[in-house]
Amino acid sequence: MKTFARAITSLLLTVLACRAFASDTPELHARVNDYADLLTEDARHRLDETLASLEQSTSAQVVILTVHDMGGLDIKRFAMTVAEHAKLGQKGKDNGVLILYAATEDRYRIEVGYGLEGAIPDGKAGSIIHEQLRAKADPKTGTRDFDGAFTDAVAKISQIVATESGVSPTSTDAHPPRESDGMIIMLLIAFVITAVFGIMHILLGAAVGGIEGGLIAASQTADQTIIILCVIAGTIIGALARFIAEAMLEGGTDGDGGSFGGSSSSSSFSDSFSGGGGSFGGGGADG
Amino acid sequence: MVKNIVLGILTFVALITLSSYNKIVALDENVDSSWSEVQNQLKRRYDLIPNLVQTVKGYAEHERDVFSEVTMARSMVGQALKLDASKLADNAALQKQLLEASGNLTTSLGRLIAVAESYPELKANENFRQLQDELAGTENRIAVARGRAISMTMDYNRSVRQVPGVLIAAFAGLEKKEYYEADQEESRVPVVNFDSKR
Repeated sequence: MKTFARAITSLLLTVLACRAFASDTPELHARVNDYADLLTEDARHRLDETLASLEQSTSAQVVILTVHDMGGLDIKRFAMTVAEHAKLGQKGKDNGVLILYAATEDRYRIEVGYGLEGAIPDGKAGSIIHEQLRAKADPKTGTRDFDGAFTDAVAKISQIVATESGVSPTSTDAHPPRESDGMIIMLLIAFVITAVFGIMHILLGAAVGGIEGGLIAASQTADQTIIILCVIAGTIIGALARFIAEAMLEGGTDGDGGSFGGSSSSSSFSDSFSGGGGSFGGGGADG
Repeated sequence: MVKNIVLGILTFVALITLSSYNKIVALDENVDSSWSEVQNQLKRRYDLIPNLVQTVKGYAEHERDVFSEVTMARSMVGQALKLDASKLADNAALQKQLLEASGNLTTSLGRLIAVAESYPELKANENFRQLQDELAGTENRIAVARGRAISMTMDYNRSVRQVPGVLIAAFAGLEKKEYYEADQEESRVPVVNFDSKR
């Protein structure tokens, strides 16, 4: 009975804590997304390394995207939708940059996150398009050295971002939290919370267990409402589970509500890239 | 046992009510601050214009019509900027006024740029090119800010119309906010496709 109540609690809390929505906008899975197939394999790897090490030393997330065409969309809306959906840049710092090229429309856009608008104002973004990108890859005029163009643009942006952060672009004495560190810290916190609540179970019973389950489940989302709802639901379910258990087992039980609800992890351990939660305001330039 | 259940339910209701109310208030604040952001971006463009006009005048002094057109349109926007963001947040008529003033300024700036581009020396001027980028960037920021303001308004409206918000809102006297329909386009998320090939 105890196990059953616990299982139901876990299930219900997991469901409640689930993130809703699928979205139509595709994910960016890497730092170099060459859907238009304009870069050589070698260039892609080198660019990826440069961008990864830039993130490591400055926490800024600079990403390249090339597409065959934008399906009739205006490049500003296209770039903004992609950048916002990918949440490039770290939450709070908003230091994301999207370098976009649409082949059919033959248009570049550099979308700059809120946090980098000072270092890369619109005029400068426009300059990068003229001086670094179109200088080497301008199909109208016959030049198609996309490897060179993106390499130069990335170098220029890295230099600007690094200066802004006060580090050298290839520095490895990095301080932004890496994903693996974050995970260890999360696990330690979870362990401590569990231990604390375990003791409280014994002292205070089912309701506390429900709260614990709700909090742990709900910590997967940052939404305040979901957290509060989960806590309430956890409390109710925990209390109900206890009543049911008490009714079924004569002599009553003590503190058996609650458990880990929803332990799905939202971030991965691997080196695969994912957005840091940054946001964009519409800054940048195209040309 | 019954007493416990009743207590449990009452606590549940109280907590739901509180969290719901808080959420509505938070969304309300979001709407106000998002309209404030629209005004910020309009101000940014407003401040950019004198420099732009001076630069063009340096090469194309005789184009008096377009300069006065821009100046007039700019002062209309200046009026709209004096509005309180929270008044703007709930008033479709004021929003329309703002949108139209902003749109007129965009149009006259477009004419200014077109005129400027007919002067090759000006067109080649690096400073002018950067100002053009800044102007385009500011127009984009205005559009983005407007889209977000509408989106925030829709979120707020949803919260005071759905259960349980609708009950709490009725009790607290909070109502839907109106918005000027023409801005909706900016708040819609377009369908993006990486793999399309023509």
